Amino acid sequence: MTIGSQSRISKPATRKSARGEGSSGDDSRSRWDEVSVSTLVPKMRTDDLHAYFGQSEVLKGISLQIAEKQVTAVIGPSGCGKSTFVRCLNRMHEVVPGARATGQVLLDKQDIYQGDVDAVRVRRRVGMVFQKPNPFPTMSIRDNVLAGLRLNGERPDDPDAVVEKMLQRVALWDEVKDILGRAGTGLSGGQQQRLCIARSLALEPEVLLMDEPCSALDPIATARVEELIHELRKSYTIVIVTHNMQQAARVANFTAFFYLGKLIEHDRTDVIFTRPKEQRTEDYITGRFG
Amino acid sequence: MFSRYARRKFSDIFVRSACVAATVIALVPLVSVLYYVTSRGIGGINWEFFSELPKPVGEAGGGMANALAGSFKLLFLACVFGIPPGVLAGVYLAEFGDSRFGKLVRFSADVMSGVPSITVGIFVYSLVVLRAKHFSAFAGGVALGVLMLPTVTRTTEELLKLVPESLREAALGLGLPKWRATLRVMLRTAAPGIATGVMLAVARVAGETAPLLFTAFSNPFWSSGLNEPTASLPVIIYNYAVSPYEEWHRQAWAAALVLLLLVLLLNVSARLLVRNRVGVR
Repeated sequence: MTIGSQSRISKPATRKSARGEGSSGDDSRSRWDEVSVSTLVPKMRTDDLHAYFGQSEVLKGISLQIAEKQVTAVIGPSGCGKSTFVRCLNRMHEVVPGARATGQVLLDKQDIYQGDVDAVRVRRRVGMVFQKPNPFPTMSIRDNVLAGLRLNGERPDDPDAVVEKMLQRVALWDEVKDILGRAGTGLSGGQQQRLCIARSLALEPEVLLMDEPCSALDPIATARVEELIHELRKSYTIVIVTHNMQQAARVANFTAFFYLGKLIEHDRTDVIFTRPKEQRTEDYITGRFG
Repeated sequence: MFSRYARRKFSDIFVRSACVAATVIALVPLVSVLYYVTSRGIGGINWEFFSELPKPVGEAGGGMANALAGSFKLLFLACVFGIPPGVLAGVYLAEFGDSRFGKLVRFSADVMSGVPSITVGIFVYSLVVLRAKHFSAFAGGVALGVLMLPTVTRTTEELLKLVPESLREAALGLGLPKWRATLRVMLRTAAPGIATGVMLAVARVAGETAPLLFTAFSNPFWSSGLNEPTASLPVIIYNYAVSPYEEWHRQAWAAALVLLLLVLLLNVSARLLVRNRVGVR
């Protein structure tokens, strides 16, 4: 089992103080060059994670660290288990009948698969955005933003402020501020997806999982969501699954390459795309297969 | 070449006219019922009909206010007894219906919807009326509620299954417990459709006579509360129609018209509800 962080033992982990690196990732090239997965504080970590659908094993022992306040992209050909992997990170995997997972998934050093951990609690700390925008059709734009709070039985003191703040955060406020009462499903695909991101953010999660958030969107809407990811990584830990390698290169600080249910390589995005250590990674990113 | 074309054209015209003819024949009973009931009943409808109690035999005038109110009371009770268990059973079938028990429930619901309504009447008679030793609105409501159950259950199940699974995932992803996701998102999204199904079920039982004959019975006066025999439109139509009095026949026609319009109204509003719903994408 080759794991990114282990295969890079040669690289000296010099900067233990690299926690705040996320937002300042671009300010100094030389500092960034010294960063590696192992020097950053992991927000989440999986340890020998196996996932199954009935009899078939979809993830075959994934051990991966997800750096705090960084964007980690998960790439790989269809069926390699990347979606299953992120769904294991907030225990959405087990929602599918017959699906189960073994191994450890640590969120701030706590194993979320331990018996007494409530999956519902985990999902509030680790939010999720899906491939197809899925605003609630019975709710207005405003109510969609508040849905996570309201449906959980919470009454925000100032709901209007929450709505404005969240829609500002996903850069949707100016487009919808006059039509907050209209159905969320009436928006364009890209707007719907940003609305869904706002809905997730309203719960103030620590980690945001995005499962191919742009695959149902046109290039312009995709660009807006990518811009948004750039903004969000200042305050959230983001894991994004993508089919699109250019997208991974554009938005992610770190990239993990999955193949056939195994983690092949995990490293800084610039390393993965310019000098990968594994032949299979190179073959995939250069388009020789997948 | 030409003859084949001519033959094809002929069979087209033939089959098409056969279909039109069959449609017309099917419409004849419907239209004549509407026409006949309207023409015979319209004369008996006046303000008195809606506001007065029935008059004794021989006296002219009088109305059916008690039967009208009784019908609404019985339908209300039917909703109380039929909708909550029906909707919840539908939720159960949609969420856990693949189990052996679920299949059994679905099968019994299908069988139940075919059970003759008079059988349901006898069932409630022995279950409620015999024990209480008197007819009551309560018993009538139970009978109608039991009749509604299978329709409500199956409609709820089918409509919940139409709600996209992505909405459930969205709800669970927001950290909602499963029961909340089901009730607040899935059921909420399917609600307009379920309401339609419920209204159609109500419209169906609104005209039921047989199960009321020996549960709610009838009553020439106002009935108060749930414990007294209660008049209802279908039963009073039956009683008046088989009576030998001309005046009662006239009243029965008027009641039939009112009942017909009530059912029609329920059906039409159910359809409108479907058309206007925000609903399932």
